[in-house]
Amino acid sequence: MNPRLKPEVEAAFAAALELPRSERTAFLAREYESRPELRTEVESLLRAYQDAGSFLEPDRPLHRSNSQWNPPILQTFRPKPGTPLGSYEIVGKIGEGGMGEVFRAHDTRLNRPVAIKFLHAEVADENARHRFQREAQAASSLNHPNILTLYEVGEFEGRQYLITEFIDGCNLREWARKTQPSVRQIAELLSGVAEALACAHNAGIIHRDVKPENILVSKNGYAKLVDFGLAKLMEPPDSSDIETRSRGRSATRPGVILGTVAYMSPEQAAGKSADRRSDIFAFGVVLYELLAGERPFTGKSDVDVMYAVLHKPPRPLAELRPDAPVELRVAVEKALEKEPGDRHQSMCEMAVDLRRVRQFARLDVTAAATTTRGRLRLLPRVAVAMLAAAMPAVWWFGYRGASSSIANPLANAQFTRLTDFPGTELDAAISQDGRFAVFLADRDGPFDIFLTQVGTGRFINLTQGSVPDLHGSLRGVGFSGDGSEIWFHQSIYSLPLRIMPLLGGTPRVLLGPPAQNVAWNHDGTQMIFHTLDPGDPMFVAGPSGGNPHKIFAARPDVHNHFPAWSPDGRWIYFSSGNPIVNEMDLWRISPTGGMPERLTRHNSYVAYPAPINNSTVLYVARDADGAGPWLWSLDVERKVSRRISFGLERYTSVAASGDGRRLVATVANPDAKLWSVPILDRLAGERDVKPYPLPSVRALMPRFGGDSLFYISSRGAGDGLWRYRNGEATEIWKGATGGLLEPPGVSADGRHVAFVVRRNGNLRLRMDTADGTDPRDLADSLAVRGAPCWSPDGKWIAIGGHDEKGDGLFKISVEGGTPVRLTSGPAANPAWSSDGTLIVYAGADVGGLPPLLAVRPDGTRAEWPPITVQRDGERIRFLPSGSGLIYMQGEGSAQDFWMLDLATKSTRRLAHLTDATMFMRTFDVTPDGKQIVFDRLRENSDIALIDLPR
Amino acid sequence: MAEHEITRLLNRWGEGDREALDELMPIVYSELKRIAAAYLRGERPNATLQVTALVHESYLRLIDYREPKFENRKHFYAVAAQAIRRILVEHARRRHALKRDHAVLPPDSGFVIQPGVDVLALDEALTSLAANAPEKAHIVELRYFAGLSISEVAEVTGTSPATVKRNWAVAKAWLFRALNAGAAG
Repeated sequence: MNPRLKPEVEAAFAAALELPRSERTAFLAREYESRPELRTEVESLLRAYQDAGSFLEPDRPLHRSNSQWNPPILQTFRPKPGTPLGSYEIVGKIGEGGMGEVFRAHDTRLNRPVAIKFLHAEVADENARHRFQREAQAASSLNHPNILTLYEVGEFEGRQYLITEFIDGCNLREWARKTQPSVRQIAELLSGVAEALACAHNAGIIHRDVKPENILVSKNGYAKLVDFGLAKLMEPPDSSDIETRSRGRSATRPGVILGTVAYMSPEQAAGKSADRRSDIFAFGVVLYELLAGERPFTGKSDVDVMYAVLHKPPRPLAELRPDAPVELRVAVEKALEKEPGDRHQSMCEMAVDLRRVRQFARLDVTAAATTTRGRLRLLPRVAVAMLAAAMPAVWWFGYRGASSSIANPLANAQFTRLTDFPGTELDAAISQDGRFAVFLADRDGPFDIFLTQVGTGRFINLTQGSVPDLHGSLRGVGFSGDGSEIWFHQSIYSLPLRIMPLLGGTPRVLLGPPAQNVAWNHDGTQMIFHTLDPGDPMFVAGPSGGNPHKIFAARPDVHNHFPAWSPDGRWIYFSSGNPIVNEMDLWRISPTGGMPERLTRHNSYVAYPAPINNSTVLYVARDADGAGPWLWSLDVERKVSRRISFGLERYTSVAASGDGRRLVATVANPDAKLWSVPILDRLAGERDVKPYPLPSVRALMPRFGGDSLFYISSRGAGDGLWRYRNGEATEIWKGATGGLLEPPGVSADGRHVAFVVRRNGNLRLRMDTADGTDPRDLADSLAVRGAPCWSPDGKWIAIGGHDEKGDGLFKISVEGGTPVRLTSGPAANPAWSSDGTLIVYAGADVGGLPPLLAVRPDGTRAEWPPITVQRDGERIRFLPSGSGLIYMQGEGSAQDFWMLDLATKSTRRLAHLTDATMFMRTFDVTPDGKQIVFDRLRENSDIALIDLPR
Repeated sequence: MAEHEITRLLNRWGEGDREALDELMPIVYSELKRIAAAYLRGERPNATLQVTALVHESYLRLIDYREPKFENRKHFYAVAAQAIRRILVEHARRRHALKRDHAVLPPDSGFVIQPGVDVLALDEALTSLAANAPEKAHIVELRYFAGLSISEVAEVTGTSPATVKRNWAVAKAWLFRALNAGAAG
């Protein structure tokens, strides 16, 4: 029985306790003589107290100071003065990492804050400790602003510790949660981390545990990578990577296990060893997660996540973060390739990619003098995504010295993605009332015409494969004047222009060939179209094409495309110039005829004028260096243009409704790769086509030379010339001052390259060594056209162009000097035979089919069988053996390779390629003469609906 | 629940809001249980759990370290102590049900507070002590289940160390007698 404690009992007990044991009984007997029960009780308690000993006493193993109330936390680690840790005053525990506890401390010697990380005692194994010390020493040798500086390493009471700089901030995950960063902020912050990793890799150190928790962000926005190589230390020597990564640390924290697995590379998940490319993968995961707001590989359990890492592709970033520039998306997706060989091979590449994003983003911001800092929110995952872009309302800019402002029609516009098809959409048009849109898409196979009623999210395939060859370079589809029909034209220009009812039905002929690109005025009473006769004459006719009369024709070599009416019907806008060399501009002409008037001064690719009112015309245009096309706005009266789209998104077409309040635009993200087809005795087909493996994700314009393959890696603004040799790809020339518009010419020994750049508004020839170490401008007086080629002895370069005397084919000595004219008349894209005796080139381009002509190096004409090739791109290559000429023929979906036997002059078809989703431009033959390597550009695009505010 | 939420609850409790304690208790409890469970399962075979370490870990996890308020810590420990008591009792009950004898936690269970203490009996005795001397029971909780020292308890309870010492002695004696009723006279 244990009676309740009474106050007097307590008092007596306490009093007795203060006496020495021997005196207690006497004391009690004296003081409480008259209260025997009390005495009994107190004595009982006293006895119990004595017997209790250390009963219930808390275990206090460590020495502690009595001076003040320190939070018990300090008791756990209280280094003794004089010991290596003795000069640190522990301030508090910062947190618990996967491997141990981190404390904030004050370095009393150097008077600075530090962080001390104590590893869990489990890492007590002798070998592990030695490895830890070694690895830590290696990590301490890394000196980089974005790597957490390691000051000291040691051991305290059986636990390893690291002393590092103290970062006042948070980790990347919290930073993202708090700041909701823009793309530019992400690129900026992570480019530092990328550089840190690059630095570590160069020193031979792999991080192995790149994840947001291991990236600290200081209050002044600096990123610091922490915990280098420590992941490796947690392994017992013979365990596999999966086990240690998933279980070695913090088995007590379930959330941590899952998180770690999500950053594991496929090779690690498969139990193979990790190398620097595993770090690159993990970095890609972090970048993806920051941009997309979700992880690329998810699952309900570790196993599910690992499966996704190994086998499932991540959701395209284009869906989750469309405002991310193309380059960034490509870089992230490249880092997340399952095969290590397909990723960036070094962190430096990734760092470069991120830096470029920073630069371009900065350019966009500074281009507009007044910017509103609107942040693009993460998109919800629905098929039609709303993208509100904060656009500056007014800009100031200069035009030829004059300074004026122009209102941005896209200010406060609402962007909606109209399609979520895979593949390519092109050439979007919108009905006058803005209710319907029509476009070309390859969702169901070769290009078809699709119709949608805006806002319904539903699409009808109107042609369903019944109309081939819809994909061309002119406008191919549109609405009739009254909106009840849809016209279309295939890219085979000898076919008529046809028209069909809005919701499908049998097409009928509207205009006979070679009529192209019809457009009705706003009240539907008149139409304009042009033909492909020399000078592209333009005709105005009645609503059904009756009574056509010519209002204008240009010079024979000049083309007029994309006619469009102003809303008041007083003007017809069109793009005019020389599309071969991308020298075009917007013009206007009265429908009654007269002299056309030039409106812009791009001298580059200009297309799809879309008037939104009587004073503003939107259109797409490329930069001088070929970048783009971007979306532009023209103030017609002032003849002043301004780019109105931002970022690296390419706008390949734009069209406006009648009231100019609604636009449709195709936004492109082309995919360019190299492929090969073997030269066989039989006819080769699509099934023989194989991808040509290259480390670069994008590649165009292949050229073999010596032991190297040269190509352009096309990355939006800023193409580069790359060289692939012995399994390694290096960028040897960066098109910063002008893009690469034509395939390079490579000398036979592969030691020199020649290419075309834009200088002072003209295309010029430039030469360099294959390492990019000795760039030289050649033939300043020559405005070149097409691609250059080398003589087999490497002493001359042949190229088409024109000088003050006119067009012609020229040869230029590599020593420099005046170009030597070889022919007169338009010429382009020569190929020099391997015995040096013959130069074959494309002659005057009439109707898109220039003939092949041949000339000798001394300028005398040579006999040549009548063969025509298509205009766009380089179409002829000699076989390395010199016995034949390979040329490309066919338009539309058929892109065939043919061979001309130079001895017998007979021709045979080598390959019949029918993939209409891709557009082939350039090819070359492998040095062994057995394969043709060609590029294929696949448009990968979406249609955007843009609603302008009232 | 987020860290700052817990801090807020502790603040409220410090300001006298009793309901905040009710909200807090389950959180602390589940947090401590989670940690304890790891220990109880023997996944840290070489580590003997110090109650203090347990409480520290849970404290860190629940409180934003950058804003330590004394009241919060004080109240936290009170809550933590109660929570740990409940965990131990629960654990002991389960083992008792299995072993059907002395509900003593074996030393190698990785969850040793003090070997040989009958947790269930202690819990019972503590409950009855709290019936007429709650402040003493509280002191025992803080010392035994949260491992605080005399001066720490003094700070947490807002009394002088001497008072704490006195109360502690009485409580300890009383509890010892209760647990050893058969043995002592």
